[in-house]
Amino acid sequence: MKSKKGRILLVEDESQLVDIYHDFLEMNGYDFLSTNNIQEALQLTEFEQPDLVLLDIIIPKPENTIAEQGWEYLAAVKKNSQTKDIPIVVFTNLETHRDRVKSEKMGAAAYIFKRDCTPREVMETIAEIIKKDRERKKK
Amino acid sequence: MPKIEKPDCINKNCWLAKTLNHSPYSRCQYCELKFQQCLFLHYQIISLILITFFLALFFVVEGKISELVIICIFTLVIVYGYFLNKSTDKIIKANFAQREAKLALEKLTEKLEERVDEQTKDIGEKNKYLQELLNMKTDFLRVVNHQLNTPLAVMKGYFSMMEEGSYPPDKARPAIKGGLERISSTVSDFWDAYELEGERMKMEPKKTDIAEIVNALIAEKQNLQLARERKLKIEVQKPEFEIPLAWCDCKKTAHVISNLLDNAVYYTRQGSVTVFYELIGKNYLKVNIKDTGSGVSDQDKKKLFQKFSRGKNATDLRPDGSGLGLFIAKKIIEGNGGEMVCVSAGANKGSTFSFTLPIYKNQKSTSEGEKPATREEKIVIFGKPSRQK
Repeated sequence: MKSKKGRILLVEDESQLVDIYHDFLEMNGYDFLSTNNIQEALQLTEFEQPDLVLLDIIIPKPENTIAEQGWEYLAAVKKNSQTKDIPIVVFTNLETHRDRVKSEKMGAAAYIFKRDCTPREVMETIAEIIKKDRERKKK
Repeated sequence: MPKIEKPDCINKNCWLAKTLNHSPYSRCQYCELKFQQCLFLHYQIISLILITFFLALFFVVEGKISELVIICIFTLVIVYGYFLNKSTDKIIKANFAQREAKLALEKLTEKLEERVDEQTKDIGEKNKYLQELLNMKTDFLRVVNHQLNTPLAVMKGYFSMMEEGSYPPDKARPAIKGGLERISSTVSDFWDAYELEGERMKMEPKKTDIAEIVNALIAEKQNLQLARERKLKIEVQKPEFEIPLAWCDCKKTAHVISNLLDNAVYYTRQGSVTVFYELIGKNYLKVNIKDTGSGVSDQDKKKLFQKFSRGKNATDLRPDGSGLGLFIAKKIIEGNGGEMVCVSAGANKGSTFSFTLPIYKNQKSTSEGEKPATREEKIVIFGKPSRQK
């Protein structure tokens, strides 16, 4: 059964960060899914219909080359009619203005600079976006 | 083929070409031969001599010259002359074309050589520039590596002791937190330096009360553990004039002052740190931060404001410096239209770091109405103006 608070998909390659958010979000009553693979993330997004996706941008490819695969994922999600309304939150350690503008242009719901945020701040942002999204869908 | 009138085409060797300019001599200007070597001229002279000779011979032998002979001779001379004239024409023009082609080719070769030289130089310069960048990158990575590894090592040390149970978590926690903060500030410094170097960082000048910033920072620095341990006297000298408002980027200037005060505290083992103000003409406010610390040797002065430069004493007194603080500070001050200098009588004789800032005189912000930079916002929810702006 899906949690009332919401189901979060974390697309992230740093396993320790996944662990932190896994524990923290589940402890606070969220359903938690995660993956470090973009293809899998797309499938999960379509079939599990999370309430929100936390998306890291720099995700190495399977052969271990550094790549900004997050953008590809974001573009693909927004292209798919099954997933285009799911709020995507860019969750990254990139901190240039350009990355923010790009996120907004590509249809992200928010931008979180990972380094400076505590799990609690991230969770509060998640809650706010999910709430807003649900109100919008009710209308 | 260029026009004959063109002065550089005129045959300077030949008297005919220089003097006469009508048919058939107009073609002579294409020719390069000397007057005496002209075949057509030889033909004309020899034909004339031969005609005269043969007519005289006829006259002597036969006693008269028949009209038929005269007609024959002249017809032959004219017909030969005609063809010789034509072929001379062609030869001259062909020679001229060849010469022209040769000249053009020479010119082209010269030009090509010039261009190759130019491009080689260009490539050389670019190569040098790239090499510099590469060196910079190597430096950068080495420093990044060192700067990040040092606090990591400290944190790891405390953490492992804590894990073993040999060190109380309450004591280890502040050290670990300090390490985290140090890593954060190092990463910010690197990013600032990177942005300032390419002048990508935008200054947002506004009316700024420097005295207020200084007072707040001094209170903060007096509380630093190091300042208390060393019993440093940190104070402001009240000037005789009223301190004017400055026109500068408030946050970044505060960062500069904080950095200079930090430096003063780090590099002063005993004594005092004093801030005093001066007016430079009517337009500039000068802020001086004077300490009784380790000073700056003449050798270190040269590279004081350079990236990653660390003075000889610096490494002893503050092993964790990134070597970027003064570089960033100077760039920020310059970005706000001021200057930064350091005066020191030498090692262990204290030093004074001073910078100037323009005084506020109704300057208008150029960025007014523009969207303010969102860089400092750590969470931005799009489509929600209250938080974004």
